[in-house]
Amino acid sequence: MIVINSKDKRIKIGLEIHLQLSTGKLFCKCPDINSTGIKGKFTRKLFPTENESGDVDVAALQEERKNVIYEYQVTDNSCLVEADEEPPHEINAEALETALSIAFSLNSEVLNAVSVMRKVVVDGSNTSGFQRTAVVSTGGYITINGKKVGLTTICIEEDSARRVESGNNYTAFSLDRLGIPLVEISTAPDIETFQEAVDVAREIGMRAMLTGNIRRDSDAIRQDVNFSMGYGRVEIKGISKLSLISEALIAEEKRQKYLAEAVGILVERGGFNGTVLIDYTEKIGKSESKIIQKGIASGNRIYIGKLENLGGILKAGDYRIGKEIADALKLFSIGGFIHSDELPGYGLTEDEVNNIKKFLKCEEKDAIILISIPESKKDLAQDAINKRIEKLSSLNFSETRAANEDGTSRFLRPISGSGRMYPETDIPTIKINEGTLNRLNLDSPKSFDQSLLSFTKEWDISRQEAEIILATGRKKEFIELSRLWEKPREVSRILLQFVPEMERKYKRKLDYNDLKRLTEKIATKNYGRISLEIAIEQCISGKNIETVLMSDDIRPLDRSELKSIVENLRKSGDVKKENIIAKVKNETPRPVDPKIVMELYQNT
Amino acid sequence: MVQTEFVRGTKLKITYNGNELDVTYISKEEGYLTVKLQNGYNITIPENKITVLKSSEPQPVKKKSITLKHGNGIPISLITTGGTIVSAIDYDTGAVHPSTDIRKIIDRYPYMEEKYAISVREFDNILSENMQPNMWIKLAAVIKEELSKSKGVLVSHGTDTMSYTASALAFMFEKLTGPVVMVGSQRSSDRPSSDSFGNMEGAMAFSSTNVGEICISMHSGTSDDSISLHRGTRTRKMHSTRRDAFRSVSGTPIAKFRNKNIEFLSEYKEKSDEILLTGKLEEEISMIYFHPGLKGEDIEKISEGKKAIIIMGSGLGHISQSLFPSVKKVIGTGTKIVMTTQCMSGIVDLNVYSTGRELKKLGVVSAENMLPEVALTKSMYLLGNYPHEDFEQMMKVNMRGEILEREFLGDCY
Repeated sequence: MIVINSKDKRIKIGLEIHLQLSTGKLFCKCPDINSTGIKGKFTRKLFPTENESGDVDVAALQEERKNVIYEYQVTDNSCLVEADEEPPHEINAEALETALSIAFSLNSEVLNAVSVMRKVVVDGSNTSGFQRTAVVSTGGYITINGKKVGLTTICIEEDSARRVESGNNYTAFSLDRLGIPLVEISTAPDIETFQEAVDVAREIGMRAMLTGNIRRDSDAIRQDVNFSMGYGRVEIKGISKLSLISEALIAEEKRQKYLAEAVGILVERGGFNGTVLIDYTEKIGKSESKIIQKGIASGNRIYIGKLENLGGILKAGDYRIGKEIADALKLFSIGGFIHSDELPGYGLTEDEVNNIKKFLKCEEKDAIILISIPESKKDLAQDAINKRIEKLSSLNFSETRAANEDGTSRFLRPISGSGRMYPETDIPTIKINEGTLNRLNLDSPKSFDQSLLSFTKEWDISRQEAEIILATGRKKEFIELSRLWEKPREVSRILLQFVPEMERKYKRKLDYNDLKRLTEKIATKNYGRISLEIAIEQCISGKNIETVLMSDDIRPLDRSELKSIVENLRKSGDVKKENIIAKVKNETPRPVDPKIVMELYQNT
Repeated sequence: MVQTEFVRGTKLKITYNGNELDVTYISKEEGYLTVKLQNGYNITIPENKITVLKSSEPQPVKKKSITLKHGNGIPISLITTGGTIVSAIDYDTGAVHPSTDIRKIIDRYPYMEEKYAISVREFDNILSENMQPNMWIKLAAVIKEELSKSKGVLVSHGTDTMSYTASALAFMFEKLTGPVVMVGSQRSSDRPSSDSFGNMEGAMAFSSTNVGEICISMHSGTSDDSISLHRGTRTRKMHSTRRDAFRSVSGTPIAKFRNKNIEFLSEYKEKSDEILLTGKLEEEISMIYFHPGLKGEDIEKISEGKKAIIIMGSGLGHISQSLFPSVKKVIGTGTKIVMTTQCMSGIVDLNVYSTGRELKKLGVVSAENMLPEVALTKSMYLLGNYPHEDFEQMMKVNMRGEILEREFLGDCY
């Protein structure tokens, strides 16, 4: 067994929290919301300018990516800037101020000047081949259960393009997300438990929500987790739900623990000396295995290799070195990989497996692999397998991993060096004047409770409603609608109850801009809540907003209209004080003022 | 006074905001220091907020020299004028250095190493807005020299005045023994998304065809999948930033390069077996953009000492009647006045309206459907090499494809 220094074994966790802002995009005037589908497509290649880090794995990846074609889907919230056909415009002042406000709120030392950098990213997720990013503050802390957790930096950056689909040498992205401002808050590795990680993420998220400028989208808040337990630093990227943070950490701790154990077994047996892939296509050509036959039919060759000392630890119990190898191969779009811990299986008979073992002069402790790939990928695959096992054998598990939906993660790339940045020459250093800094500092939310108290008071709504509005990032919408229609309690009810209810009923979302237009109409016409509700329901049910706005359905019945209904009802008989309002309402889909109905009933 | 100015790249240990930081010094401006943090970010901080504890000068960076392998491929010459082919980034300091290292292009397209034997010649290193007519003459001489050694010549050039250079060269070279392909980029090559690699790949392919013209090779569209070859005398930069800024105005490009194949789209002049270069240009020529409010004295002032003036008139080639006396005066001094249109496309016709007919009577020469910048370079060429009395007649002669004899409805304008 490998002995780890117990001092190093302490778990250290750091978080990087990314929050999308609802201020419109960072370096152009495009909105952050895409309202239509795809407007067009174009394709690009990316050429990494330098092999910055000198890391062989990175170099190999870049080599591979030279041939990749990236397709971009143009959306109506993208312009020439996202298409990398125009230099970035001036930084979005509201977005920058929001980032600064968050920085002040988290006790971070705000810089007087912002230098925008280009961080080279050549996986196609940025049309330019780099992400624009800038530090706005350094240091800071947040207090969780009486413990101070330090912050390192707060940055403002562009979000990347959204990956839509990918295939062999081809990846498609949508430009809808590219350029949306992201505030990135990085903590020091001060976090010691999984629960603490969740608490820190939640608290930072809540604090940021108070600015009212955080987007409300399913992937508007994404967390990266840095984890170490003595085997190097692993960065897990893109955890979109708070609840998945601890799941991801539990899974990662388990992965590292059993990997370390498995590596211990490997080392005890004498270690790994590298495998050589041998073309075995002719010998296995007659196998009935579908994987083999499909591979050969598509022009692949079937390679086999001996993995010395790796028998029984590729996939047995909690040992999963096989998956580690598979992940490394997947990076080069190599999927067809079978190893002896899964054999016989996949249509391969025991005899066939034994023949391979014999052919490779395998001992009991050795494993074999079969891999179906084009001849051109043989060296790449062999290299990837050997590098992966060597890396694991060193018990340094440092790498960047991508979060899966189920809380697990997969190998993404080696940890990138720091050298991949250079200044964004199209944007001069942005100086922020003292007056702005003082104002932002003064206005920045210092704690959730304090903000809640003043918000509740200012708008005269219940504490519970205020809490939901603030915590779910609806502050900006609430304030805007309440200014249009000076009935904050009604606005709160519409926002928190009626709209979600209708959205559930019709399984459709209401565009905020539509809600704003409806509210404005109701407010200027002095129509009232019922009218707004009817308008909202019609909109959500699929009616065109223009039709709804022009429609008579939302106009309350006036006195004379009501009078004729009341009189008609009276003629038909069977009306009394108790049922008159219900009866009138039955007669019309339009809003009815019960007070007027009662008045008319009683006075005629 | 604590020292806060260092050589770029100096490693510093500083205290800022109570924390000790290891940083790399980048620059200092107006009391602000820009330093690079270890994570790669630059931060800009007021110098009075930091204390420098330690500094160590940067080590001189060894320049890698790469020799180009001369294979047995098609001999191609590349002349660089300052549109950088490749920029290298120094990630220590973030500085971007221009480089003429053709290896870096070849590296993108390994097949090129087999296919071509490329020799690089540095002509100059300037931004294209600083290009001058006397440099066109020198450049022409260099092209002639290089073309005599190779199958085709590439000229890397900044995009701003690339079409001026192309058309000037087109007039100076009556005959060419191979294609002369100008190539540039709209996204600088330090960016992974640069169009320079694709444009260069296309240009290389075009340079080994049997075209005998001065051409421009740039992106056909915003995608990286197609490169167009445009005639030097019919091309204009139509957009300040887009990759597909260059268009064959009112016509079709000569060819397109897609999936490593060249498809010819329109007629072109084939190469000949000799190079014929007339390396003379009349430089005393200027251009005036007509606008409401333009004064006669403006025209007179700019025309002083000029051999010709190109006017970009409105519509069919008009200027305000109030300018006629000045036009008459200028022509009276022997200066030629050529009329072009400031419309993006279309022909000048001085017969349709009375304004045009009067201008014609005054001796104004119509540039037909020549692009204004081409009318300029053609005038330079004509007045530098032909008797002045032949000027008007020669302007009407289609010498290098600069005039479209027929414009078609289907063509983009």
